[in-house]
Amino acid sequence: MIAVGVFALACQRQLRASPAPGFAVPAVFAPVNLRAAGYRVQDVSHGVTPFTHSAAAVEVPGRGLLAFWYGGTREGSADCAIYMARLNAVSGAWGAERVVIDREALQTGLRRSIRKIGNPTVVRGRDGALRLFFVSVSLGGWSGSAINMLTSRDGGESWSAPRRLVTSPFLNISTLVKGEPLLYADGSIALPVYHEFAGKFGELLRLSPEGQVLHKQRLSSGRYSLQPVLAPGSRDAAVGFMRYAGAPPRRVLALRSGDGGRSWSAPEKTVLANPDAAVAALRLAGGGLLLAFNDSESSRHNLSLAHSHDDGRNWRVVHVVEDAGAESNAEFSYPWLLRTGDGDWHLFYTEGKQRIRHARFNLAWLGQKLQ
Amino acid sequence: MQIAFGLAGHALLVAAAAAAIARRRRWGRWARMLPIAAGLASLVPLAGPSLAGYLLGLVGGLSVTTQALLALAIASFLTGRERILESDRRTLLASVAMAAVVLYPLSLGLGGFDPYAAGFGSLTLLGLLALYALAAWFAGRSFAVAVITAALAAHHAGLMESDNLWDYLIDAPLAAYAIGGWLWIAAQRVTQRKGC
Repeated sequence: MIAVGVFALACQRQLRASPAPGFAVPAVFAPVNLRAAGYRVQDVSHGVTPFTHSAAAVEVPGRGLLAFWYGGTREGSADCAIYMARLNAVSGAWGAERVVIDREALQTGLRRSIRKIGNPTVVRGRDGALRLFFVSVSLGGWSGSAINMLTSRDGGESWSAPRRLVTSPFLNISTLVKGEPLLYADGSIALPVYHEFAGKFGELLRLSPEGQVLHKQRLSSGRYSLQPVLAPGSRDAAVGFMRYAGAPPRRVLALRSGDGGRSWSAPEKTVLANPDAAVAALRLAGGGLLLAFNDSESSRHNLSLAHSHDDGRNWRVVHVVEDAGAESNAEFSYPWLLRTGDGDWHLFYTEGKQRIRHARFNLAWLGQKLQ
Repeated sequence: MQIAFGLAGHALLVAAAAAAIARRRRWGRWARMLPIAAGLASLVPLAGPSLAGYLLGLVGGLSVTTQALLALAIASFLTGRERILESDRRTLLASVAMAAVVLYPLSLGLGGFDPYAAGFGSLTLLGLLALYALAAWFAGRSFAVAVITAALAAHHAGLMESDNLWDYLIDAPLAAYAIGGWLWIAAQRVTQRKGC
């Protein structure tokens, strides 16, 4: 009798766990940008840590733009921490960076051993709270990563105790974040993640605002695709892009959903080059797409912006953000694109794994580039 | 609460290991308290996380199935009486081994199908579990039914960090133990046949 009762309760719970309810339609900002064409690049990080990598950013209404990244003595060192900085709305300069959480605080909060901290990603929920996701490793290299979540209800001033997400059955290893989380129509969070342990493939997690994993689905399979980013155009239609780690020709991968993220097409190569590096995508107000990527099959020596007017089928490079030359050892990587309520666009990226850069441009500038 | 449940699972593991050592060494009655002392000591932080915390970091939370088996092993040691029939134990471990050889390779990326995703919400998975429980009940394997019921109840209560039903039923250390045990039995049978 007890067993029958427990099975009935379990059935009730399983029925509540529905698949993706469609994407929250991205905000379409009015073209308030009537200023002259503007484009400016500046540093976000100030050299506090020799190693600095993987920027994420979010706008908090009334508090401005916040950027997050991780840094330390070197990649994977025990002193790596998640840092944040705030853009001063008056001066237009980035403020001092401060630690959001370091390895010891995470270890204390989760009451377990943590070896290193890595990639952060952030989203502002329907309730206005910020959810910061980042990876940590207890055993092995980055392929042993698990995801953690912090919540801030005061615009990044203070953060909750960490919560560990369990997303893999085998020691909870090999789930990493990089791409921007999105919101579903019901306020739940779409978190693009990827695996790189036995295979390299993308997945999409659906989370409750509290961080409960509600659903999980594959975006790809095999050993060649990772770091998905998604750009919904409507409640039902979305296009995604992925880093390609397979055999040449090396191209950015694209995948599509026409049912609100319930199912996705198999990834296909676009015409854009990809040197096994992360990309960032943003939907424009008119339905176009902007993609930040390394325009090379072999190195990250440049960083470019490409535009597509037909949902990612055809592309045109509209601006070269950085180009150190193919022979250079310079590296520009891990882009993050964002549009703020004032109508400006923002591109964040890592330069040489030493500093975080921020390129800001407005509608007039972008309009000139798209002509 | 969820972290405490995870730490408690690893304290049980340490206690069961201590019980196994004490049993093998045939230590006297005074050793009866050793598993309890070892389990409690594993929860004390020593210059960072506790031993249970280190294990939780390395292995993750232990399933309800593992915790039930560990608790019964400790109870057997303390009382001097077996608390689970050998046939019940073997049936459960065989089931775990079979589930593991399907679940882990597929969920780690072999092919496009991910059975782990079903643990976040699938009536199919629940239906299969119900069929398994019914079969076990009619076969007189009541321990398997009790473990599945306990795992479902713990999942409903959200006792573990994981929201996935699979993590309440099975974990990697248990799978390694179950598969290793069956490989050992198979190797012994092959050796015996060759000896004949």
